[in-house]
Amino acid sequence: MVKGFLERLRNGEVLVIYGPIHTLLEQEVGRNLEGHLSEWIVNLPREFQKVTKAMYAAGSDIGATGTQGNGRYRLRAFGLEDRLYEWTLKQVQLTKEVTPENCYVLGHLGPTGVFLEPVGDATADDLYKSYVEQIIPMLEGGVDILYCSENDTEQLVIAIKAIRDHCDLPVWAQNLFYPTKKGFRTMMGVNVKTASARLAEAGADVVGAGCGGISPIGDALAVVKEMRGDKPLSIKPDAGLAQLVDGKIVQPVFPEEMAAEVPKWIAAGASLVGGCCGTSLEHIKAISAAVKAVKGKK
Amino acid sequence: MDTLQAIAKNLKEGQAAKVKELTQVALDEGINPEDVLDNGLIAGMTVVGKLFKENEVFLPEVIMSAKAMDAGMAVLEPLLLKSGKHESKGKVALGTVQGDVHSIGKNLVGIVLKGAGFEVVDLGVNIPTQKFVEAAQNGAQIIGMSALLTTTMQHMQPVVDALDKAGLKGRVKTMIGGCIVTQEYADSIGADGYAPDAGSAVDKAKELLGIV
Repeated sequence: MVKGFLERLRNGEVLVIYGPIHTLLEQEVGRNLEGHLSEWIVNLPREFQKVTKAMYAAGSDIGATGTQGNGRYRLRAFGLEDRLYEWTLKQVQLTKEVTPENCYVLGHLGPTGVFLEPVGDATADDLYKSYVEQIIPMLEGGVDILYCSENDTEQLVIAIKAIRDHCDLPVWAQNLFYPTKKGFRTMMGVNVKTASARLAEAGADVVGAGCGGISPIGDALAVVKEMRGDKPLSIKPDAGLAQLVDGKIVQPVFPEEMAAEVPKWIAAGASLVGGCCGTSLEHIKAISAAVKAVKGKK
Repeated sequence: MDTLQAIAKNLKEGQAAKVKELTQVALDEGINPEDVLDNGLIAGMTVVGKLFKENEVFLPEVIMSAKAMDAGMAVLEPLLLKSGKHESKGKVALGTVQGDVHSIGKNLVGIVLKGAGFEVVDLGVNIPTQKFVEAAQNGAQIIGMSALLTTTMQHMQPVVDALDKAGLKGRVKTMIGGCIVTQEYADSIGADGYAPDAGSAVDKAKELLGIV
């Protein structure tokens, strides 16, 4: 059941994005976790659900299932490829159990970690299959939205097709951009306008930018402006480069600083706002408050 | 344009088959393998490295050029081994730390280091401390570690400490990189060097080994 995600965005609502589940889960558990994120989640279901509930309470409208590492290539690097279906399904189910009525469970197709030929060895067919095998258990678990994030826009095009071929759920696709001497570019060298238009043309319902080295102060606003098109836009920069200081993770960009940017992002056309690496519950609270202030919500 | 210049040009354009062909042509012309390597392949790759640093080209071009370099190297390698004359600038072992499978940055560093004449051993991803130590014991002069997550960058310190414990501190240098990593972090864990990108990594590697 879609529960009006796209309708809400088209009606001018601004929704708040979840934070980095791996960092938040590790902080919750209070020790360094070894191995793969999905392994942590399925072995620590109560802690995972606690963090998920905390993110909703902080104002996130979307539940992160933590499935971004469940592509076959990533799992293969850990020798865990055979857990793909079981873990993806479980992660979605755990998230769904604690998701309120007006929030959305997000199936996250993360970067594959491989390149399309001729730069890499993967064919379009290989990648299509790798997305499909994640989409199936996500659908079975009952996700509300399918989201993909990649360094190569052309891989996102394949992911969008894989999603579209299997369901009618909202498709949200995010490019990663990096600041260069030639403006913001994807790792493959494509500029923001072209990379974003490509996603829209390929059938994405929501077009996004995030992670990658876009600073929330300044960069993010510039990127949103360049992304402008017909589709709802999302922006999810890192909260600065998170540092490990005395064993604690410290974000150079504080919650208030990030929140101060939110009205600008909204004015520039963003409908989904949040932060990626370095984003804490405090950041999410501040971002959520900023959205409410702009949109006049209670 | 002479053959070596043609090799460099085709390498810059990512033309692997042409570079392979021209490498053989150069050898047939009597140019010695070391010369073909230094003034053909490495010369071309150095230009690509500079262009990449200036964001005139991006990752795909660098990778295609690296493949072209590998194609030329495949022809030269047996001859270089036979003559024993060519010495690499140094041996660098690269790996992404335990729990982390991000590889693009590490791979790029490997490409530009090779392109600059270093011998590179790519250990891969999700590499435990012991494997880094073994690489050092097997002759790596620099251990390069990459991490992308705050949850995995914590695995860099144990490697620095393990190398120290194995009596390799000072003899084997450590270098770290990755989006999440900074100079301050490198200093705090006792790493010998940090580089924010592949281009700087070459300069830092040279500095650590005292090479001009």
